[in-house]
Amino acid sequence: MTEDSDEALMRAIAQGDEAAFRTLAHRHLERIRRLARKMLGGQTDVDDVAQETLLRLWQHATDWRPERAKLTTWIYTIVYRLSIDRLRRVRTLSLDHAMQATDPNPDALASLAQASDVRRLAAAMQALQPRQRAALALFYYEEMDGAEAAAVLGLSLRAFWSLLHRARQAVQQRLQVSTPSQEDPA
Amino acid sequence: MTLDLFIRCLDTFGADFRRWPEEYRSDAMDLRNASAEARRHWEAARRLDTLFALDRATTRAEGAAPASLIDGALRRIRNARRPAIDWSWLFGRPMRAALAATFAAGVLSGVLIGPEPLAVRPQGEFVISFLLGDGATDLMEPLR
Repeated sequence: MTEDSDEALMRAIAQGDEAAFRTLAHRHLERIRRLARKMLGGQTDVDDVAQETLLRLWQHATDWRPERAKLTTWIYTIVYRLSIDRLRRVRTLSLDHAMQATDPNPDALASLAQASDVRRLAAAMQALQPRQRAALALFYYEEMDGAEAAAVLGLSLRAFWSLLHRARQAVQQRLQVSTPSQEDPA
Repeated sequence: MTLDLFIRCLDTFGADFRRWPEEYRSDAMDLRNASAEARRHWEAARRLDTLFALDRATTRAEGAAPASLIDGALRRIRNARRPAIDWSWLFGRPMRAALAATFAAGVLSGVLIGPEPLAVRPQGEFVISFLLGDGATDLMEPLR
């Protein structure tokens, strides 16, 4: 274990080391914001959730057990729970609104032919149930394996696969991606 | 592997066979290569995977995290660390002893330097004078 491994940094944070906290926060902040952004859609809440996640990381540093879960899994769990809390409070966008929503920063892909499809996908994702959205974000965006993603959501692996299946199908339906199975169920 | 199972797996794990459970991978590849129907399903799944990848790239391109986020978190941490006003000294043993001594000194000074207590009329006399007027207390004279 190196001096700046997640484990070593977390031990230092548990003893009140602010420099270690800063290093760890820099290392994980982007992924924290990515998941929060995928879950919440809006920019303001994203940064609130990100900061609250960092705060929890500090406050509960002694609770993390490396033998039980990877640090990223633990962090994603915090982000997921905070995002769900936030969504419950805000009562998320209606489906109609979500389907009209535009990508907050479409310029990055404006030159690509698929940009509008990507925007439709982002809107379709926002219209999903939060758990379905989280399943897709963890598996397809964060590229976690099934067991880790299931742990973040507090599900068995079997339940996670089932959730992921429903989520992907829901996105396909919302995008109206015409697959052969929709045309011909045989 | 049946086509139904192949489609169900595509709708769960996507088109990248490396993300499928290991026991299905080689059968799935064989089926995709052998069946036009399976290949059409696989290509549809791959289109959605491409969209996921593009959306992921967009999300990652949406600006770096502001450094102020970490500074803000640290500020909140320091504020939470700052101890609240401590009143425990008020209930400590020295303070209790001081309060007890002050009380005892008050009682003692009241006893030693306070005025003589006023003479109190007997209770029966007070009741009769209240009910019948001051003159009536003379009726009690024989009883004294």
